[in-house]
Amino acid sequence: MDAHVERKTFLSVRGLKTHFHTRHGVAKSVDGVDFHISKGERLGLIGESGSGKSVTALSIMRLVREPPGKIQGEIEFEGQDLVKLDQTGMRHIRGGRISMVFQDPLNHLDPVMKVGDWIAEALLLHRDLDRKEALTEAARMMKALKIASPEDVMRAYPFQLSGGMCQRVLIATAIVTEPALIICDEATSALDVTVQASILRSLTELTSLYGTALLLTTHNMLVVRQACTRVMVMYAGRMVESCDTDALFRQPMHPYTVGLLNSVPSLERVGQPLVPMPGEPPLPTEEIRGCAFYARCPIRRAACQERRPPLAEVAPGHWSACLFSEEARSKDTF
Amino acid sequence: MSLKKEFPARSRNPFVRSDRTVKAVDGVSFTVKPGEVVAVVGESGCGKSTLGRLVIRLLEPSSGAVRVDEEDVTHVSGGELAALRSKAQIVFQDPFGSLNPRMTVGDAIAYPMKVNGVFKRNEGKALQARVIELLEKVGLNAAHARRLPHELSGGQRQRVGIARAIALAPRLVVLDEPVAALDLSAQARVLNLFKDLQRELGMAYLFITHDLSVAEYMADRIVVMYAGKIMEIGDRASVFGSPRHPYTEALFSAAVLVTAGDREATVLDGDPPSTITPPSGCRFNTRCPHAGAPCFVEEPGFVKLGAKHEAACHLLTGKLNRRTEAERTEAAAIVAS
Repeated sequence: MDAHVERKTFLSVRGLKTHFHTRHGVAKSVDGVDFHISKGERLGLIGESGSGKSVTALSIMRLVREPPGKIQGEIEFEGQDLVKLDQTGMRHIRGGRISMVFQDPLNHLDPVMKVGDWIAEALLLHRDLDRKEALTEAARMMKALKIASPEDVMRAYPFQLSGGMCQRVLIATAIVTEPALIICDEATSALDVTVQASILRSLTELTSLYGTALLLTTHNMLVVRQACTRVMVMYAGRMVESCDTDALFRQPMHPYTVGLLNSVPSLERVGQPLVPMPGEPPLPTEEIRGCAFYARCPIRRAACQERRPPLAEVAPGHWSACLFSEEARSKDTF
Repeated sequence: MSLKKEFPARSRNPFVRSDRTVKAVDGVSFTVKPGEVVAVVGESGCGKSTLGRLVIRLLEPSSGAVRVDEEDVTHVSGGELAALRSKAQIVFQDPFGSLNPRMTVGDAIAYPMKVNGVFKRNEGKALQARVIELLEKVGLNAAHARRLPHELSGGQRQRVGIARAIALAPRLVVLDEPVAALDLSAQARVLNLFKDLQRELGMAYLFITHDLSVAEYMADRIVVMYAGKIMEIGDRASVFGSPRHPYTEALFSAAVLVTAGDREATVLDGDPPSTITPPSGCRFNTRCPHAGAPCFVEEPGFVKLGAKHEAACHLLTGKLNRRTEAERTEAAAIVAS
């Protein structure tokens, strides 16, 4: 990575492990993850349910209940280690420097609070404004998100609004304090494709306007394609591939990514059959020796069982955790 | 034939019945041929699930008619309705809610056959054999018959729902968002299962989905619905090759690739209109990038665009002209101010 990028990096996660102590053993939901985000970058985190992408997002916000959870490693954000920060410190970070948008907007809005007041509250907590100024600012942000009549919407309660509108309200709340980073955890998964496209467009426009970085977790390839500049693929608690969005779709290097792309119907691969991957991902409580994808991998070898392959740079800016990335790449389908 | 379904709208006063109605499906006509896969696509609330339920008579239409095998089944009940159930079946979206948690998988699959008297009382063994045959058809095995739904994954549960639906060898199966609740790798396997079963058993599918790429993968013919009405209908190749209704175009833009700088893309803002008080004229006029005066007055009829392709839009009736990108931006600016 060159010095230019290094300088602008403001969040770097090193050796992040989030384990949960459960009745069935230790669930290693996130098991050694390293990545960084630069200013204004839009990073996608893709994976199936149970891959650890949401837990990674929640760990950055320190929204993992401890115990049973336990966060280890380093989350360096603007010169502070978030893993070591106390709750008071985290309260300034959450909503102020890092905002989060969740999948289910209705459950993350206060049902007895008008949405205008809800957005304004974020400003009252994190910026030095009075209520009137905060409400004006909220209205301005809603206009920027293409909400047709912001004044009416601000006076409404969440139950009076559609799912898409509630999600726009949450995004307005997230962005209004001008944070350095917005984390969207499956934020558009419950919405219609048309609404999803409109919200993703607003998000990309606004984040580039304010220079805000975006971390988007999703299981939807389309979302990554529409909104992200760089993408990381997670499997069984670790990163298996990381590269530019274009490179991922043009030339996936890890057999899991290849399998994932081949098992999703796409309008850009019309006429091609879907090739599902065999088997299921390992349980988070399972002891994994060797590569976690071994049991499902079409190009596995004996060497794969010896140790978990680390992320290695296989092409400039393209990282893959596979001993045989070259071979995976040459296989279009399996 | 011009199928309609109205539900009473919830009244503001819980003690007074409302006289307003939700026109969930508002005049929809189409046919499904034997062995054909017809996909119904649209956003949530467009009436596609209601349509599926009307077709197999889980709901009774407010007006219009449903015919299965030339027989009018619009208002059948009792024995005739039971007979319809062996011809037309459904697989629901939610694999968790659509199986009885206290019934074993084997019992759930045997149930429709018991109710319909497929096997006689003394043919218990034959019934069990059939259950196992069905389980194997959907990629499960005999051991699953004794399991309870909570022991299975979402994909496995959906397979049980499929086995149950095909138990009576129906002619038509309504698939109501059957993969929406499944994980990525399970989705591909279930979609391929649908294809294999259809090839093997020759059933027709009414495949309800919000996902255009799934519709493209599965269907012979596409029905695009919006706010209770059909906007565009036609062969898959024709609709996907040259979508003619601006709503279909917008759906495509949303499903392929939209980036902030992509000027060609039609991105819709706002939400679909209320189906209690639908807009006059064309239903799509509140979000359409091309909408002009005629769209607010007169509802466009279907225009034939080829042997098997029709769309309902004033751009095609000749009463309206397409707007260029510049004109669209200008119009949007006027609305915004």
